[in-house]
Amino acid sequence: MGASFSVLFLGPIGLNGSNGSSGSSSLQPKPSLGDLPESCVALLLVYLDPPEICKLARLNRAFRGASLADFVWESKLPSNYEVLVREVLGELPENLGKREIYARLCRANSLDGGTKKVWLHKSTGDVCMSIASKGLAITGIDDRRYWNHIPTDESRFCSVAYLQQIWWFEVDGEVEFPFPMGTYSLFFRLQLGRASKRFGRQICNTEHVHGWDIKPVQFQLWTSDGQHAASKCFLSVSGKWNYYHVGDFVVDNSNLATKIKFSMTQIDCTHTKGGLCLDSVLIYPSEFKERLKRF
Amino acid sequence: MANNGENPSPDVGGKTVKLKADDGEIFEVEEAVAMELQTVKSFFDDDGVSYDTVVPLLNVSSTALAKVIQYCRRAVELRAKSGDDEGANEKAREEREGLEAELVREESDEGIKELILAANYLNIKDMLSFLCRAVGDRIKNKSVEYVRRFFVLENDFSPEEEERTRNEVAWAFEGVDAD
Repeated sequence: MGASFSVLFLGPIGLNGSNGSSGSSSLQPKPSLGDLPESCVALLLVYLDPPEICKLARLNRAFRGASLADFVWESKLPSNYEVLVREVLGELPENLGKREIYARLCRANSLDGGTKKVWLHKSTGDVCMSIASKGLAITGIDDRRYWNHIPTDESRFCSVAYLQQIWWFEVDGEVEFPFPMGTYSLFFRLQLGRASKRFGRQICNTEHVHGWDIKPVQFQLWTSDGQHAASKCFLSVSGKWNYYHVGDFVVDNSNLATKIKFSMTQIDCTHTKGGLCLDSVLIYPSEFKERLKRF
Repeated sequence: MANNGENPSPDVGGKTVKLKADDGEIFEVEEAVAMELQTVKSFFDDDGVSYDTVVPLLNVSSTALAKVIQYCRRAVELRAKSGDDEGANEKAREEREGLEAELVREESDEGIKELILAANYLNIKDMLSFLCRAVGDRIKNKSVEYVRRFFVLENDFSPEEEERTRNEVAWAFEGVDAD
């Protein structure tokens, strides 16, 4: 071992400096933390978050070994991860280590014919979900005078729904999923203006944007266990995608799947509205709520 | 058994155990406190080992052993204070956390490493836990090189192993999250 070698021949470098006399009188080289058994290193890793653990896996063989310890990753996985695995990943090989399970759950896994993506937030292990515009019930979506799906790389789903103009604006959706216990925030990801690329540059065309400053848009969500949240606001042109916060809901029993319905409406038919790009609905752990609102 | 929660001085009556550090220094400790060190407990669990036997702790310095004993003594006292009363439990827990924070705050990086090695060798679960948490705090968000220096570690990977490890954990650094 590098450290003990240095103690024998070069003095107690990087080791017990405070105990000088005992260090030099003892014939045995002092053990260094490089000699810690893997199980002890693993105990240390439990107190770090997954990206840190993975970073330290590159230190040396002992740290790599410790970073593979199942009990470390069991402490990071959601408590109902076995249910999540079945729902999101399907059947898995028997001997897959817990680190690998965590890694696979962290990928943006597709569900429901690609209309939803689910993943674990890498640092905290909380579940996140994005629901594509094609997974939402949009009033008038089939009428090309009102709505069109346009391909874009600004969406996880490679396509957004663009509203030219409409009187009755309503977008509904619902999802049933075994969210682990915790508090979640629900957002609509929207942009006023039509996003496109011209000559390789992103452009936001606000030509058709109208009607959003007359009456506010209403957002609501309901859960099957009786929770309800509502908010309303005026949409405005910002030239970028914004997360509009609908509200929060709490899951206190992860053994049952949580059913959530949500909607966004502006149905005052005295005026038309349009020029809106709707990307998706995002369900995210509430602790990151403020970060997303600043987008 | 021994005098839990009473006068902590080892000179007061009650069974004591002798522990010898690596430099030969002997520590006389109340039995209840000595049994917090699972390694010592196992030593006496063996048939035929008399409680008068001095326990040789070759891998522990006297500085570290003194601190370990001091912590375990306080831990045993605090545990005796808690019971069915939730209020007393809460107070004892807070005191223990204060004790741990104080121990950790005063220690240099070298000191903490030495204590971890001692707690691991002596097999003291609670002490090892809070020491690991403290070290975790010290190395959080630091570079790989910093951590390597902190633990005085050699990189014993072959270039192929290093590359393979890098690929194995690449998922942890990909940007999937929205925030």
